[in-house]
Amino acid sequence: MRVDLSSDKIEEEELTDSIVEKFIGGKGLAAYLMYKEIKPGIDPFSPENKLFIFAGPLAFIYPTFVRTVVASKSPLTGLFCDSYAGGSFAVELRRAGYIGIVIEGKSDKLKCLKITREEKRLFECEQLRGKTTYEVGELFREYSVLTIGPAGENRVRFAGVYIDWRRNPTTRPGVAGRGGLGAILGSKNLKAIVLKGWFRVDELTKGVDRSVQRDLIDRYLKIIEEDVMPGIGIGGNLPVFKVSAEAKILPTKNFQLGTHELWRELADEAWAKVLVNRITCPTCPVKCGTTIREGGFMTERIEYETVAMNGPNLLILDRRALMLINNTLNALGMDTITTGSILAFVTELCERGLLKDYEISWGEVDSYVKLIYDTAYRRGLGDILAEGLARAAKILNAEEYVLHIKGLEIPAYDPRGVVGMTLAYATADRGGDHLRAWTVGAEVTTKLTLEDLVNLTKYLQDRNAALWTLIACDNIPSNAIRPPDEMIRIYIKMLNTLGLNYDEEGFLKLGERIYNLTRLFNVREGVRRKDDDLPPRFYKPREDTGWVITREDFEKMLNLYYTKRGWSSDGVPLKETLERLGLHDL
Amino acid sequence: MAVIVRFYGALKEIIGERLELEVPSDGILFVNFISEILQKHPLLSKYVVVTEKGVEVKGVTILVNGRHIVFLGGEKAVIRNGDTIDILPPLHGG
Repeated sequence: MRVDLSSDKIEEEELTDSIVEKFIGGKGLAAYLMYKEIKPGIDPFSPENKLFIFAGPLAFIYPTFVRTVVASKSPLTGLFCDSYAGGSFAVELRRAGYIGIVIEGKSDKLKCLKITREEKRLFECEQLRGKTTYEVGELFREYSVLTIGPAGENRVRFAGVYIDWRRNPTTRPGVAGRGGLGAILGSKNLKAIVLKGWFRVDELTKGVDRSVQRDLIDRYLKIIEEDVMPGIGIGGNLPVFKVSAEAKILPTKNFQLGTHELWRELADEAWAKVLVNRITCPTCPVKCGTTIREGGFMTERIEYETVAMNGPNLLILDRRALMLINNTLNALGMDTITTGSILAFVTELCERGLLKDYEISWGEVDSYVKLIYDTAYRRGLGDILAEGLARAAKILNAEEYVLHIKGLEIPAYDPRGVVGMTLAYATADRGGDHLRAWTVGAEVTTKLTLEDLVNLTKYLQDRNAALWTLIACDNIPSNAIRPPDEMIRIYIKMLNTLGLNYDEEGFLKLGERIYNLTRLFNVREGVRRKDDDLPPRFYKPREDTGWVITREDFEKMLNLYYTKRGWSSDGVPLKETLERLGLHDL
Repeated sequence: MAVIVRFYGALKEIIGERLELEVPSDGILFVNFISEILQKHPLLSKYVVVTEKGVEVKGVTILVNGRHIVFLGGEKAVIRNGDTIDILPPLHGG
């Protein structure tokens, strides 16, 4: 579905078989269309920018493929950005017969898009202006709701896109939090998409052998039950907190330290004592969505990154404070990783006496919450912070203290301990991100060589790009106790029941194709080797452990990575690489 | 001064917080050093093994004096008395 907000036009388009075969769905299609349709050099907030919301082809037909990708040219980085959310949207989108929605143009007035069997229309919704994500979700309780909060409306450059947020939700709410894609919706004056699908599974799977489909589902669910669910702990990814704290890679005081003596207050065992409910996305048995209640506070979907970046990183070790921050950010619609990084940056500047006319100290919860509101509504210092860490640091002349790569703030793993993550961060296609290649997982055995360290990053980047065409959930292969190969083989068989013809090698090559395509997008925007770099802090020994990444070591890693990728020494994909991957005609 | 080996997280639970081992005055290859530790602490083999292919790890990071061992020669890195080795566990669960 293509929606032009400038003209109120809604059209349907068929994708050609060759494009579907080459890019499948999810990230693949979004990346392809972004490269084809977004003109180089445009302002992300201009009407010319487009936003792509895609499901994968397995959504609703097979369990757990519930995630939605939102992709656009990021207002935070000016580069390719894809961000993923759970919830019911992808399933309902497939049930409506669509694989994706392309949003383009800009409306003069605040609008909503409604998609049901009876109608597909844009309607004015001025009454929703300023509403939180929870309030919008509540108003359309009978629908799957994709929305932005006030931060998105105010073009905060790290505003997220929120799915199914409401009080006492029955399905797990989702957040496409990274890269400020909520601000793109805000710039286009689209507040929400409300959606209710109507097709049944059998209507979407005509021609699929039912017994094969059933067998694949049974085998898959057995692996999930035996291998995945035991690793989920209390839900979300909170179990990582303990490991990070013990391994001393937990960001503490703006990444100046790697753990805090009171970390147990925020570990999953502590949250488990106040956990009241676990909910799941449609078709998924895993129940990773947590609901926490402690004292008078209640919160949904508290995650490792949120707790780490807004907990020890700000010297906050109090669960209720974290719940308050989590609720505030989710209601206003702002990325919790970016916010934690920015608040820590501001506090460090104050501590060093580098910020005039503003005072805040580590751990001051009320002041942090006030600053979050000021940022969402662009008041005072908050108006500068709403520009994101990189821009704010330039304005404040304090770039020495920032933790971002290509404008995207670093998530909650200090790579001076887990060195493989340096390359993963530096070469992630959306900026400083851990999800493209979570090299610190235990699933792959490697030798103690630089080559294996580099190969692991490339392999995971390609594998995840392929998995995100489906769109597989990050919580599932990554959390498997055994290597995920068997699961991926099942995924490929599932895909092939829909008429495609992939094998493992072809699937990995698909991921490599997509990873090169997103690189091409970024290269077209000016990205080169100089941008695949680390924040200055990571090149200095950490004061508590002495761990360090030397520039020489990093450059060695990057050189080998470019060679393995088939990119030039300046980080540009070579002609023969593009030919091998079928990208030369783009 | 001996070699100090510090373990973190799950590895600490298996072996303890730290070991101190004397090595020959001209040093020892890491592959031989870790083999000695594995002999004394076989449970470590869940994360680190020495096979005919050499030293293999599962999500484990090994730092020598704060730098990743792959930049110091990997399994052929020479470990000397006075060195500090940090062995970090893989991250699970999330």
